[in-house]
Amino acid sequence: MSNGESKGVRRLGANTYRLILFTILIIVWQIISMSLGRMFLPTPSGVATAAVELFANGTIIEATLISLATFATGYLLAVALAIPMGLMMGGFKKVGEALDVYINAFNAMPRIALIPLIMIWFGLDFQAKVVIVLISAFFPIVINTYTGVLNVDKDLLEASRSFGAKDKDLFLRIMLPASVPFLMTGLRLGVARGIMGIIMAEFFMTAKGLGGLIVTYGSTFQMEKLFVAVTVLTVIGGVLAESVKRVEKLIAPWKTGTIHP
Amino acid sequence: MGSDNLLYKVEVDSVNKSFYRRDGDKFKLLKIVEDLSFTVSDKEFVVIVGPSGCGKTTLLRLIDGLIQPDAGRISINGRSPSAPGPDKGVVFQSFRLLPWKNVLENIAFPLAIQGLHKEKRMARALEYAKLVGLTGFEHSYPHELSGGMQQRVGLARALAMDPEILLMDEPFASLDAQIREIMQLELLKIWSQKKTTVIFVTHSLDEAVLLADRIVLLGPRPSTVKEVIDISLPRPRWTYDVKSHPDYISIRAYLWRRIKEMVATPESIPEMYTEPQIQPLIKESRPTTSQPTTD
Ligand SMILES: Nc1ncnc2c1ncn2[C@@H]1O[C@H](COP(=O)(O)OP(=O)(O)OP(=O)(O)O)[C@@H](O)[C@H]1O
Ligand SMILES: [Mg+2]
Repeated sequence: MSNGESKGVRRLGANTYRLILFTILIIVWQIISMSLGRMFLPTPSGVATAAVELFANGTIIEATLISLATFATGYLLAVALAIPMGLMMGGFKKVGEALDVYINAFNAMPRIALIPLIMIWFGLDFQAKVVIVLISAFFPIVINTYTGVLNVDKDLLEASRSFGAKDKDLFLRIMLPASVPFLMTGLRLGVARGIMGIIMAEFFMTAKGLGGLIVTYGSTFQMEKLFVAVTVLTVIGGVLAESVKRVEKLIAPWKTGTIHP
Repeated sequence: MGSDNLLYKVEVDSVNKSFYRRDGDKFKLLKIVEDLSFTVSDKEFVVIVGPSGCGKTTLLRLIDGLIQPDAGRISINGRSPSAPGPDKGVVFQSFRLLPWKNVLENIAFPLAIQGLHKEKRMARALEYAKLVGLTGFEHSYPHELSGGMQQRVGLARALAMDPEILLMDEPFASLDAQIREIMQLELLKIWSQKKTTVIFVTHSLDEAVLLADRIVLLGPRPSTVKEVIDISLPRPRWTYDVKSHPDYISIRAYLWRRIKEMVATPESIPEMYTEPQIQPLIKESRPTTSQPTTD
């Protein structure tokens, strides 16, 4: 039996188990919800009906697009600011030493504490929400990029110097590529933090997007719809994090041990 | 014969080097190399033998110009001090390949630093990949290669620079015995074609006698030259069974005796010597602790 074949069989096995577990969970959920009442825990069938309705009338799609647009704007701004800053901090020792204390302090502060200030400065809608996503995603990216540059293998730097590399070569040809896996980790953490940011913003500011739906449904006890919104959010988070992971494997295969295409 | 006005290709003249070493919360000055002198002629194959931790790598870094001596002088082609550059190609003890580059790109890396045009440097890389027996692996990444293959890349990378001097730091130490012997003979063949000057560091007496024109024997740290031994075994050495040649056997036995004497005279080890285990015995093979850490 070939290796690939046995692997395929095993994968099929894993998916079968997952499906069985899923079915059991749904059944248990149905039983519990029927005994507790739908105001406490909606039934799976009720949630499914609500999902069909919300998708059909476009409510979910529209909310998702609003949330994603805000998220994407803030996230891309964070990336555009954080990567150059992390690289500067790593490339110029003095810049790094001057900034890293403050960055770590800001990173440790709960973002929610800034919301009143951001509302005063940027209002209650798109702009302010973008700022929240930006400051949520910025820190993990800048910190990981900086760490990546600092953690470059000193032996590789020395080898390159031996081959005649100057400081500029060392930065561009060694430090920069060596920091890519760290940077990707930062991007992945940034996605998670950014999603937390957008939902938080939609909770506390104008109730739009998926966060807005969750607040609305939650406060009006529309339990089935609330479950749909939360599930969609979970799926989006998973898909985004997984995509970054895929990109990571593609451009930094040496860190994951996968074969480069 | 090289240029006539040059007596030596490499001249190491009374070199001293110490490092600060943390000892608890204090820093202690640790003498690594003391008053070390030897010379290497053009196109000569010199092997440096010395116990573990005696400063062999430090010596190669000094010769390469990566670090400067505290006292004394190192001249390359009569010029001093030595500065790192493409005139010296180093094969490192722990391969030091770029994990994000494939075999060809790794071999071409020093050429890229020197600004050689992409087409030219890739052609050159291909040529040297072939020379060291990496055909079929040109597009593999270091983490996909065995240790032996990785060190071939390290060797090809140094050779492709077309250096005047090849500095090799226990390049085969982490390979298993068979691959190691193959690589040794291949190196001899390549050297006989290219005729560069080679300074080769090793723990292994067999490797030293097999390869060398001359052996420079170092003592325990702080290392000084204990003896320089000419090896006049006929070349080329891959055409006959060197290891059963009577000269080989007697030289190896002599070296072995000298090293045992060195170990038996601990006054050569100063009080500074604070390492937990003293292991100046020449080891035939080393544990693979010098494997690259690519993950
Ligand atoms: N940059 C440094 N700072 C402090 N100590 C150092 C430094 N480089 C080397 N040493 C010390 O100098 C001694 C000699 O090191 P070196 O690597 O030159 O030995 P070696 O002969 O190459 O050893 P091995 O046979 O294990 O490769 C060691 O004790 C090492 O810890
Ligand atoms: Mg060494």
